[in-house]
Amino acid sequence: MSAAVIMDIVGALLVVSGVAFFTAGTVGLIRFPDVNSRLHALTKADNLGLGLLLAGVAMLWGSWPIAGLLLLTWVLALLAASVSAHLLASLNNPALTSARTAERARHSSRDHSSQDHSAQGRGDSGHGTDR
Amino acid sequence: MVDAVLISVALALLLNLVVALLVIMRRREGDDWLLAVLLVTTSGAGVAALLSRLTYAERMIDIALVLTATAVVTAAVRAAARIRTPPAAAAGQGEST
Repeated sequence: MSAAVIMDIVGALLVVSGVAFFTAGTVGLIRFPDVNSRLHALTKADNLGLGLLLAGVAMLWGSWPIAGLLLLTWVLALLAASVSAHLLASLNNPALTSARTAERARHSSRDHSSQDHSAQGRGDSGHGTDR
Repeated sequence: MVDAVLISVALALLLNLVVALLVIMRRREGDDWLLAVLLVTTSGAGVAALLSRLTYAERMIDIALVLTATAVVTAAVRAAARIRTPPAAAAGQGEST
C-alpha cells in the first residue's frame, strides 16, 4: 500500500468524521431550546467539523501551500465564531449587559470628573496670572 | 472511490445547511441571524473545500477563505456597533427622564 493511498484513506476518514460533527452541530442548532445552547452547539461542533473536513481535504490534495490556505480558512472561521459567540452571549445575558452598562457609566463619570479637574486647574492658573 | 465519498459528504453538508436555514427562518427570533451567518460560513467553506478537491480547482479554496473572512468582518462590525450603542439602548430600557 503506497503512501498516496494511505493519505487518501486518512483524508476520506477525516472528511467523513468532519461531516459527522457538522451534522451533530446542525441537530443541536435545531433541537436546543435557547440561543446560548444553540450557540454552543454551532461554535463547538461546526468548527471542529470544519477543522476535520479541511484537514481531510488538505491530505487529499497533498500540497503544503493548499494546506496553509485551508489552515488560514479554519483560523478565520474560529475567529468569526469566537467574536459572534461573545456578541450573542452579551446580548442574551442581562447580568453581563447591566455590568457593562455600569462599567461604562463609571468610566464616563471618571472622564467627566477628570475634565472638570483639568478645567478648574486651567481656571485657577489663569486667575493667578491675571493677578 | 474517494470522489464518491466527497460527493456524498458535500451533499450531506448542503442538506444540513438547507434544513438548518429553513428552521432558523421559521423561528423568526432576533439573534438567530448571527447563527445563520456562522452556519452558512462554516458549511460554505466546507463545501467549497470539497469542491476544490473534486474539480481540482484551487480557486475554490480562495472562495472558502473569502467566505470565512466575510464572516469575521460581519461579526466585527456587529460587535463594534454593539460597543458604540448607548448603554440605555443596549439594555433595552430607555429612560424617559
